[in-house]
Amino acid sequence: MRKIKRIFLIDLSNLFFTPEWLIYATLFPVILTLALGFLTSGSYSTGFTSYDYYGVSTLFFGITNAATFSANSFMEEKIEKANMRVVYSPINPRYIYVSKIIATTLFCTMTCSISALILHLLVGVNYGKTLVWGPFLIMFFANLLFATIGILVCCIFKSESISNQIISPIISLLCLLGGVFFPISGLGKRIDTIANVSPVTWFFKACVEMIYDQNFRLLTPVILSCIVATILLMICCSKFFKPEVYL
Amino acid sequence: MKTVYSVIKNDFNRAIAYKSRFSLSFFLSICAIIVAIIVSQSGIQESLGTIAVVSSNNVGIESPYITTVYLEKIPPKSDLVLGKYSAIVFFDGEKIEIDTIKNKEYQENLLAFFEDPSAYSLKESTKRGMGSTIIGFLLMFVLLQGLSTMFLFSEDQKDRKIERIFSAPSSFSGYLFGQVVFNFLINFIPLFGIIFLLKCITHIPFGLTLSEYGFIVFFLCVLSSAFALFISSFIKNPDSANMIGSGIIIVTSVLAGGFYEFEQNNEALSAMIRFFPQKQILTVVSLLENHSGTYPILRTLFPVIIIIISLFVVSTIKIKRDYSPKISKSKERRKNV
Repeated sequence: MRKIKRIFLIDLSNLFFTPEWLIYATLFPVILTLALGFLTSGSYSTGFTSYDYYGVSTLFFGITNAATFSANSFMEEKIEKANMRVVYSPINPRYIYVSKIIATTLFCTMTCSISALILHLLVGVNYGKTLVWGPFLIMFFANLLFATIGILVCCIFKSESISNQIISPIISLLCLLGGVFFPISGLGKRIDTIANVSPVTWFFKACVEMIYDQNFRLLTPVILSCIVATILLMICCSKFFKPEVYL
Repeated sequence: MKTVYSVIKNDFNRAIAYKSRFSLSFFLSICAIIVAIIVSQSGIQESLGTIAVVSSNNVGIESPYITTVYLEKIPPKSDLVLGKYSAIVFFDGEKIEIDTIKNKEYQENLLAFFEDPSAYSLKESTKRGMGSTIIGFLLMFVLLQGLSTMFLFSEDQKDRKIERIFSAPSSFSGYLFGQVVFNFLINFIPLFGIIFLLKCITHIPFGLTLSEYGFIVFFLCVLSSAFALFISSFIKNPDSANMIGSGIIIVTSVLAGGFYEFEQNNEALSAMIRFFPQKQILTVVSLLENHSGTYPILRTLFPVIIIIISLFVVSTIKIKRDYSPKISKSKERRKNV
């Protein structure tokens, strides 16, 4: 446990001390919300503003970006050498990616919470009156899932830049289907069925139901399926992960 | 010319080594096109949307402007937020009550509709054509793809191959041009190929003719290559370039109204958005759909061409400055001091 803690702390500090990532992760959802919210503010009523919609939806865009961050922290140039040392040392090389997944999850949960806080203070986005822990839990487990996806893509393609560039179109497709950029269920039944494929749809649905109806029925299934999917993806990771790549 | 040819050939050979990557991006473009087509087929929205009517007896309203769903219980508010219903209407005897998250104008329209459904007529039709919907969806994906297929160039920059190329006795502009042409081809050929195949095999209405699609996709791919070159010339680290570039693309494409046309009530902002090349391309598509003549199309395309050329020129100057030996020497000197 002590061994993984050491790697984990270094990974976490690496994420936090890369200013580009910190700024991108914190400010991108805020800017996107402000831009989209301002643009659509005319088409929403005063009781429910456009910021209320985009404040929640763009957070999921930030969450899906966890895949990019985990891929970056896994195979970035300056980390490769450090990873090679871990491979040589007498500990399980799987600690490399397990610690990265945990570090990215914590990092992204932090940055998303900060963006949510900024948005709440700035434009008064509604994240639930009393029970903020529901959306927060979903955010945490969604981050876990997407961090693992990023690592898996890295393990399969064995190069950080390749996985980085593959991930971003996939993420935007998932977000689009999840209704991050506009409410997609307005486009008809067929699209609604397709949208169910995207996990973002379910996260968003669960959050909105919790915030506006105090309805927690989706909370447990969403979190459980996140955990199950993460475990399955981790098994895939261990199949595809080859420490020799670092040599 | 020889340099351009050999750069393209070399890039294709390198691309074969990255088979899995290119086939995945090919697969993604297929996905994007299929989603775009499905949306365009079902995306013809009624102007007032889907409305949940809470009433014990069937009110019996049928109109091309509206889709009604009859419910006995009041649906949760989250259905409104997620866009499943545009509004919830309660019939309480004579009184009509409306619950919606949309603006006042919409509420008034809806109220007017329910008071007298047969007399209701919409002031302006804002129906989007099929071509606009398909191109609007493809906009963001084509631009993102262009950014990601520029990696051969960023690899050259990262491995410092570009410095050797710069000092080699061949045309450096030719090298850059070759990279751009390769990036264009690798995006344009699969995309247009898929559209061509779908158009030939299936008989789905597409809105535009094949040559019009070719024209639009051509401009989109050139724009995406120009932007990719621009971003990778200014941000040398390929990961940050990709991150910031995709951020810019997503925000501008959404703002330009690729997926969803926003009601613009802010003059300054809509004036700014009019300068986005994505917006111009969408305008061209709608002009093509309305069969307006060549002149307005050319006039709309002119700014796009200017933007593309200036992106190329600025990035070429920037790259040349970065790698010209004189300047890099002076940088080193500054470091030593």
